[in-house]
Amino acid sequence: MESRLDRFTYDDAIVRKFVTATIVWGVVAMLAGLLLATQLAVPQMNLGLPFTSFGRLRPLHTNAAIFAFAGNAIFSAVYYSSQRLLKARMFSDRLSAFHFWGWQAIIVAAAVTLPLGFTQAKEYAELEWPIDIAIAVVWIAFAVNFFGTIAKRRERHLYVALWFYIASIVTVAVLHVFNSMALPAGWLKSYSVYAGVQDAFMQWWYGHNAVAFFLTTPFLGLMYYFLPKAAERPVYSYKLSILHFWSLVFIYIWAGPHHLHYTALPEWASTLGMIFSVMLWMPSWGGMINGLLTLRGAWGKVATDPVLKFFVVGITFYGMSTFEGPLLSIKSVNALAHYTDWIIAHVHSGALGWNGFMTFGMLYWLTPRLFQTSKLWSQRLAAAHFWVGTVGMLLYIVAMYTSGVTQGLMWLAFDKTGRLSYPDFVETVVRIIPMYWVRAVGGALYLTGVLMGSFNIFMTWRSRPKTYEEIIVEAAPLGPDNLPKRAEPTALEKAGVHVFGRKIDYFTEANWHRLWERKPFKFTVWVTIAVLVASGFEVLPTFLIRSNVPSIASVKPYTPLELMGRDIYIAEGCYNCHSQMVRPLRAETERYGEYSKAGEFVYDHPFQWGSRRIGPDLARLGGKYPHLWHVRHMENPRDINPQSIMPTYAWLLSDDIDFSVVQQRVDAMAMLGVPYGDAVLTAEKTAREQASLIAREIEEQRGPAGLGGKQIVALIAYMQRLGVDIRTPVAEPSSPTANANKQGASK
Amino acid sequence: MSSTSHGDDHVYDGIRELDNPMPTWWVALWFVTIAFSYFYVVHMGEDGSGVLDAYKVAVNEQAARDAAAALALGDVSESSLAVLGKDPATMTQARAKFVSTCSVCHGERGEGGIGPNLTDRYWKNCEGDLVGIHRTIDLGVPTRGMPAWGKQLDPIEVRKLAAYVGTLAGTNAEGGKAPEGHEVAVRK
Repeated sequence: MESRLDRFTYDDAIVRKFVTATIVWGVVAMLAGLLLATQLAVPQMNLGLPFTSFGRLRPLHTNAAIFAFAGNAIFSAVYYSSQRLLKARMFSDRLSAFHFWGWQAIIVAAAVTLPLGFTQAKEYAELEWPIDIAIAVVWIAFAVNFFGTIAKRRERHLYVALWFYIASIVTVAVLHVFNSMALPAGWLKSYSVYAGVQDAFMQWWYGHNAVAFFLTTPFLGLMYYFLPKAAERPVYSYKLSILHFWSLVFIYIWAGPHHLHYTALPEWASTLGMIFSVMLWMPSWGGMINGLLTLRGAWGKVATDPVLKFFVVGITFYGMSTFEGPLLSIKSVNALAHYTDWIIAHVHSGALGWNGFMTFGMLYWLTPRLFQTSKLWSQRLAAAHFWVGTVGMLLYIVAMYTSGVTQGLMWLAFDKTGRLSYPDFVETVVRIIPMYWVRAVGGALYLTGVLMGSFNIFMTWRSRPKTYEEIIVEAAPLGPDNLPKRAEPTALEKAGVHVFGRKIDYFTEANWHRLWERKPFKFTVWVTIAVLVASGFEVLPTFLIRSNVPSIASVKPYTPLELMGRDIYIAEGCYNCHSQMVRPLRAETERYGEYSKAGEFVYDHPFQWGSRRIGPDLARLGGKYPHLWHVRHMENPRDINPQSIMPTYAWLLSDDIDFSVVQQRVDAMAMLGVPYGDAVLTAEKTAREQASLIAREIEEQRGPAGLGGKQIVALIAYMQRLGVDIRTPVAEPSSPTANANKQGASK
Repeated sequence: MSSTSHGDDHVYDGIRELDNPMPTWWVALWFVTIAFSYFYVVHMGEDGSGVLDAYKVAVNEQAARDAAAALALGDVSESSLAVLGKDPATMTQARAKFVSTCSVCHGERGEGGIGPNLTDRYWKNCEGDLVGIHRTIDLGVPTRGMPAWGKQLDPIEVRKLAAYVGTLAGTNAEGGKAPEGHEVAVRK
């Protein structure tokens, strides 16, 4: 019927741009990571400057690795493969350009604002609200461009790679919008609309699914295109694709609460997060199996082709980390691993092994084609990259497993009288510093591999033709979708005998799915429903059921000065090293004090529970030390504790509190429902009074004079407030019975 | 494997898609994880199976251990602490512990720093009696920045430290911090 063929070209220029950005940001992200790794071994590497201290740079590293490096890699894959799988040029070259430049501008904005301390303090979602809006706009442009291309496709059915792209684009949009809801309190300052338990829940619903829909599903799509291409082998199983795609999309969403085991999150949510993580194991492995079995008959090629080497190790690491994920989500395992370097090992086996190696496998296959050079500059250098990278990665993760398990066990260890074996936190830090060195060496090796790869790709680019040839593609346009008619029912079926059998056959042969693949709109709607239904089951009860956050009458809002101090705590990124969440484990309550209750966090916009204890938990810090201890400690932690690896924060003693914004911030909190009452009218005055009171107390403790207007005072106000609202009345010096029970004093 | 092939209709940009059956072990393991999840939820719904229940059990076990240890150790009293203070060997050990644990805030000789001077006759949190000093070390004074060392140190060690601090009173270390708290004229 259709004799006329369309003639068109693919837009490879945009893919070349994304590829370049992938490499550049990859190097930047890993350089930042290497600096951070050395800072943990040698605190002087923080350089004593605000902009280079660990707490501010760590978000830069994670954001650059996830959104700049992996992000641009995903876009390279999507723009290259979608055009070919759909037999259509991208919907709009302008939208493509807007997407590219918009995304790079966002990355630059992140690289500027994060070191300056502008942050929302939610992991992997730190960027302040104007940048959040820009992300949403650019993402929508990307979505329009992508779905527009689907609309004008010349291929009837959507291939499995595209299913994964669809799921990623839809879900990332949903996650970003709902987690980033914040009320601005200035141009680069905002407060999460959620507080405490709910904020934590939303954050890890987001955080976990950022791993799912930014670092997993797009890379599975990438795998489904580039792996069979490079191996020149057919994909193993269509049915496996269907089953693991839908189960992954549906089940992943539930797993977020496993990041919050033993916290003040209600236990039902934690349990849901755990069991769905366990049930996620096989759906995740479906992708690994389909990838590895696609290589049947091509294993000989793996020995010689660096592209396949990277893919095989990448997919194997995917399998390892998706086994480890369910393992870590089991509560009792999590009790040991949470807050330790085990988690750092886990994410890096995912990021370096799966994302990094899949990206470089793709780049080595793609760049000779994009630069039209017919082959890579050096196969041997690519193979060397593979080995250096693999060794680096193994050193990295083995060091972090060792460090994580060591420190985790030390935290939990009791002597035979039931007292902590390592009551001094710093002992557990000193023990793992050798592992920090091994990690830094491993990371440096991995980065060396990446530099070798960048050089190889640069040299490949140099031998490109003067002008790229525009390759004309021919394909028939799609006519109206005339679905094949169902066969006329036979006499037996009319009699009802075979109807059931035919229905079963229709279902098990996945014919229904074959239909969906012809209907992108319907397909996308079902993906969206799968994601939203699963989210709704957890999100709605967390917000609507009052008993999830039992209120505590003695918990009061932060004073204006404490709020300012909290903002300094957030800006300095203290949450990157300190948790504020004592778990109900005796090893924690002995070390830190009473375990944390949901009702304590109702005014915490955003929550600050943290995820890694590089330093001790701070949930019960209030009143533990005199003000002067904090002054000296922030000025130079090693004056107090020679073995501390905390950065110095001397600038807090000289930088002024910006009292002019106090009112604005208290107003914003009041607008979020924090009951400030009349205090909201005199916020600045109240803050100044409390500041001079604390400054006077510091002087009385024979500390430095004149700190009244300095940031340290606000921070101290906040720190001295931490965890004191539910403190049980302490024995006054005059009551001799206080220790009667413990010491058997019988007076 | 012609039986597993779809034919031409499953080809995308040259990538052919087979339709091999799903590995049996994969399907089986998946059912195992689902069954595990079902039984886990049913079990965790039972009373006493939650995280907080396990915590309470651990706390009670420790209370029993502490009670037994307390009975074995005998009373904390002025006289029992004073006895410790008179033994030079015990005080040498206590001094070493003081330097490693307490000197950050109270100075190496007890002259004070972040925390108050322990070598004058002024006391903030007790009356300068050994039992009071012991209580201050053991339970801390959370509102005034004194940590509860009983959480971290062995009970014997806390007693030795209390006795040692008792020996410092009135030694008026050179360069000591200005007095804080109230004066206690004479100590027994």
